Amino acid sequence: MSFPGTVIGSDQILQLLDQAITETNRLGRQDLAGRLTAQRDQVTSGAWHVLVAGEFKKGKSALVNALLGVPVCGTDAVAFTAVPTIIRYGPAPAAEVVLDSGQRRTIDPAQAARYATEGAIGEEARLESVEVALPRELLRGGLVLIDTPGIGGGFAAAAAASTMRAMSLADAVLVVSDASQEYTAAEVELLRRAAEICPRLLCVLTKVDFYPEWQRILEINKGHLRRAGLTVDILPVSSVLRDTALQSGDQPLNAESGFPALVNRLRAQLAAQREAVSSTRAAEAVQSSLAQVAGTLDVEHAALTRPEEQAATLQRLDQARERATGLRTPDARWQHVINDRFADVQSRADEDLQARMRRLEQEASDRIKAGDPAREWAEIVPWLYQRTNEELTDAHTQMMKLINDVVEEVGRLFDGEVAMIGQLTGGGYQRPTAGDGLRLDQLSIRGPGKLELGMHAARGWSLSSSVVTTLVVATLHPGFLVVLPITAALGTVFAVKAVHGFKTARVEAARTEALRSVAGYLNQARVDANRAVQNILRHNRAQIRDYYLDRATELAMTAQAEHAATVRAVHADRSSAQQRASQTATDLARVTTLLDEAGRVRGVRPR
Amino acid sequence: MTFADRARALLAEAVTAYRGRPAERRLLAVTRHMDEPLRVAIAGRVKAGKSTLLNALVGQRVAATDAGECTRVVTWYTHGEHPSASAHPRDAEPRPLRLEPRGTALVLDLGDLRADDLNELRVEIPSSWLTRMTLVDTPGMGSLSESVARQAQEFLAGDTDRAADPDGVDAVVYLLRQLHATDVDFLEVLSDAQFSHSTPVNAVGVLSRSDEVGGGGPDAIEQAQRIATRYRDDPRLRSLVQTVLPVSGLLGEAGATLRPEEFADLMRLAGLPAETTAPMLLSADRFVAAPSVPVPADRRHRLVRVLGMYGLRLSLDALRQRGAAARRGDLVALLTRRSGLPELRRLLLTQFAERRDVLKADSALRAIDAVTRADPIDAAPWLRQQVERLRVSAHELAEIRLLTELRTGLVPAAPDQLAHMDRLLGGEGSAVGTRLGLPPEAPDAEVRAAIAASHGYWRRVAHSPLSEPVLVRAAEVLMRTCEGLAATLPPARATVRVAPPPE
Ligand SMILES: Nc1nc2c(ncn2[C@@H]2O[C@H](COP(=O)(O)OP(=O)(O)OP(=O)(O)O)[C@@H](O)[C@H]2O)c(=O)[nH]1
Ligand SMILES: Nc1nc2c(ncn2[C@@H]2O[C@H](COP(=O)(O)OP(=O)(O)OP(=O)(O)O)[C@@H](O)[C@H]2O)c(=O)[nH]1
Ligand SMILES: [Mg+2]
Ligand SMILES: [Mg+2]
Repeated sequence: MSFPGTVIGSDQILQLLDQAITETNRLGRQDLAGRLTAQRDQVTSGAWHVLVAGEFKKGKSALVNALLGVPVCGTDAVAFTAVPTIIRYGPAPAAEVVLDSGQRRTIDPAQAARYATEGAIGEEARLESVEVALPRELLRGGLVLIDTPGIGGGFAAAAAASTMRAMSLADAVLVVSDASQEYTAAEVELLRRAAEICPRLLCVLTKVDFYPEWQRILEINKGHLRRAGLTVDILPVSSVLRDTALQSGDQPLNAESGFPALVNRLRAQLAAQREAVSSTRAAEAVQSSLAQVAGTLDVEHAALTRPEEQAATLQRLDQARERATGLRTPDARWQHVINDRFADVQSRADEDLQARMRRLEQEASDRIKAGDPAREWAEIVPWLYQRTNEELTDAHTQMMKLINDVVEEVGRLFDGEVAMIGQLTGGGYQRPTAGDGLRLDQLSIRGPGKLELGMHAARGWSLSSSVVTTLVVATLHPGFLVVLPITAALGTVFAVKAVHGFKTARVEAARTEALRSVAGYLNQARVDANRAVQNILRHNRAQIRDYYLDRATELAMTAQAEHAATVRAVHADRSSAQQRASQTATDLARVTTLLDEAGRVRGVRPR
Repeated sequence: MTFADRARALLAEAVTAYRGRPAERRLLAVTRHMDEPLRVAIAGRVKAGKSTLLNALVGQRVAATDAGECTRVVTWYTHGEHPSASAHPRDAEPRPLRLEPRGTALVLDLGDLRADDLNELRVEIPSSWLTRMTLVDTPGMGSLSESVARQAQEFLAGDTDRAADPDGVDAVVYLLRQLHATDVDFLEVLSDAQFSHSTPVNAVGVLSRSDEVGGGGPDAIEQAQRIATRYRDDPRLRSLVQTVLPVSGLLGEAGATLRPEEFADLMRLAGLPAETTAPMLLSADRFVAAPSVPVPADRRHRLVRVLGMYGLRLSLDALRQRGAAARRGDLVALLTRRSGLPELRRLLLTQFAERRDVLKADSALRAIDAVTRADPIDAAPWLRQQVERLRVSAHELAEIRLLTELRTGLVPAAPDQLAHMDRLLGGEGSAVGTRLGLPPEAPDAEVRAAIAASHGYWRRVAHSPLSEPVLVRAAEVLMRTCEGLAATLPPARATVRVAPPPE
């Protein structure tokens, strides 16, 4: 199964990147070349997170194993997958477990499956996730597969909020159901909600080897999706056939398993996303790097050909250098803004969560006090799960929106600085600023949905600063995609029946007990959500700051280079000045051609 | 007077009190039902395999089963000499329906009636199983179709205002598929169970479709057994159902209805070399599509639908091993054994049928209670009071309540003590021997000794100053249980008094 690292349509952009890397290196800007190289890696193998989700025992883990042809995830008839497994490319098999304390521990990759089903290291520690690196061709292009524990009961399930969070951060989601029966109401509900927050959904119908009527189920399910207004495809597969085919090398059987079609589908989606997003960003990176190089060449050319302006130029460049250097200090305004705003977002998110949970607790306690909780417990629990999921998902979206605003503000501020520095250097070269003109709606394949904004912030497609967040996404740690249910599940809290039928004293006791467990559950829901908030904020803050620090450094380097070039021009003798002037003119022409091309790539990219 | 006799007497009084009122009809119906077979509902989520299991129990394909959503109306199956059926619309008189034989199945023709307008359907067919209990097929819960979901809910919630369904059902078989403890479905099942007043006495759980556990591998049934064992240990389930058994309705249905020509086709396939059949058995599609096989594709399609992949592999394996000597009866026996149906039948007979009178009496009390609330005539408060008194004083119900408490962990006792109590209360079956943990053939002397020992033991517990009040109450119930058991022994031996406890 080949899964080439490069993708259709990206050849052109890779060529452009390679040329730009050569140019920047030749002109002494190794820093810019480094950035472009990172961008190139992004195009060829940037992480592309695909979450595998669905109800219990539908064959999620078997699907991941069959995709990879290795039993890396635990599949079992009885034992359930307890924690997510995150599988990415690595030159040699390696595995780690992440403890719930955040600690990591190296494990034998062959044991990964066992850890994922046990979800703990004996009595010693609970796990949060298992991470595996495998030298599989399929993963080489950046595909990261995430096998998740099942959820039962759709959006009303205890784990639904964390699944939603994970879905909103993933690049694509495979929603798994099997051919034993058509979608239930809960499954359709979950799909509907998933479609709202997740860019690319693909449904998979598993176990088609076992069910003679799978084709009818497929048709019925398509009908359900249509009626729910979802345009999502369903691919039928059989992991069992795939395993047999891979063992025996039986090609027709492999085709029957449906996996080649699924792999092609994933590949095409990845390519589409690369084309739509990575290439655009790469073109932008090429533009902004080459613009700096071109600026330098332009300044040098001017200094060589119009020596009368040299003194004034040097003075301006001094100022520019100072400003650029100033941008790198912790005192720079943009840095303050990042710190302040993120602290602000943090406290607003905390307050928001707290308020929501308090409201919810009130609602729950009203409900409990109004009736006999022992009698109604089995209704109260799914209701509370559902309400909690709604609140948490909504809170998450709100926070993503806030982050988006901050990113935008910082971008604007920084761009302003850049523009000012650009005027000072004034080589007459119009520098494109970091994120100009790139609009989200041009990138997006679908129309904007309710949660669109938050999602884009998470993935880094912020409205005005798409470039910035390229890195935010690329380095998004899959740990954020971890799907773990709130452990204080309510279901077991008390023996439903026990109190049933007894009189008032019992009802009072039941109420007290119910209130206590609801409070415990909501508290844990809040703590878990808080932790997710902190992780996401910390990550975003660090990524944004690093990005702009790099840009500031580049700018300082550019000012420095222009200064040096001008000084060189001052000291140049007549003949070497002429020679150098014609050299810079040639260089500039070459760079300008490349710049135009990058502009064209960017221009045609958005569809 | 037994509890059942007293309930019957009270019912008669209620009938008198409501003479001439609409509720009279309902109470009379309840009275009639007291002598009829137990009514057992088959309930569960949509597609849990309810109709298939019903067919397996009845031994004939009477309930329609399908991959797509299927049962839309509550349907009662009772024993009758001649097959017949009727529809009971919500707003019109009942009308007869045609029941057409089609192959091995009986197909109900709804004509121009719409499922949504129907209250229920009634089907009568000759079936020895139905002489022992009437079965009720229900629409699945959790359906995407609103009206189906509502029907299921209404029925199980015991919507007792419906004239045609005066006293609901006496017992319930809950079908569960493999669920996770945090599964909301799981809670909903519990909730449904609660609505229908199920107790560990009148409800059993079935882990259905056991042949497809783990993707239907060769050890599917064994795995299903393991899952069922886990369920049995779940305190929430224990408070609602006596036990959970793994059952494959499909294998049971196939065993009960396997036709000679299907058997012949299977024999023909089993006679093919393994190199030919092995690739065919990889998938259902391959089995049907394989070229040049002596059994035509449409008949193979039928075989795989009737048996499922697991049943097909199992059958061909077994037939191949027996060779030409294989008989249809052997295969039927094998399918039936694997289906888990015999265990379910035994459980239904010992647990439900044996307690028929108590279950019926309890249903009757519920009906009286409901009637007095719906139509509060002058005598209503008195009737309700009597219901309450009967409930409190009936030792049979006290046993049931205690069993529920035991299973929900409300009784502070050591595990072996709890197991002992559970059995004595009939948690494993209400026959005297079963309750005492003795083999059925145990001589009377041994039975009496066991009763005496138990009685003595619980008396000590009841009188011990160290026992907590809850345990004391439990011990008192158990003492009465022992006394009741002693009273069932033949008169000649009844002279042997309960021995005083060895102090
Ligand atoms: N493999 C297997 N399939 C089964 C079993 N029982 C039922 N099925 C299949 O599951 C599907 C549904 O079976 P039904 O018996 O109609 O299920 P139901 O619970 O009555 O469904 P509704 O009435 O629609 O709620 C059919 O395609 C059956 O063949 C079983 O024990 N094993
Ligand atoms: N026949 C058949 N069985 C399958 C297929 N895929 C999975 N199974 C079986 O279904 C069972 C459950 O598969 P898993 O992959 O563990 O399912 P899961 O969705 O990961 O389960 P949880 O994570 O525990 O919710 C296993 O026993 C598998 O062997 C398939 O395509 N065909
Ligand atoms: Mg799994
Ligand atoms: Mg049905």
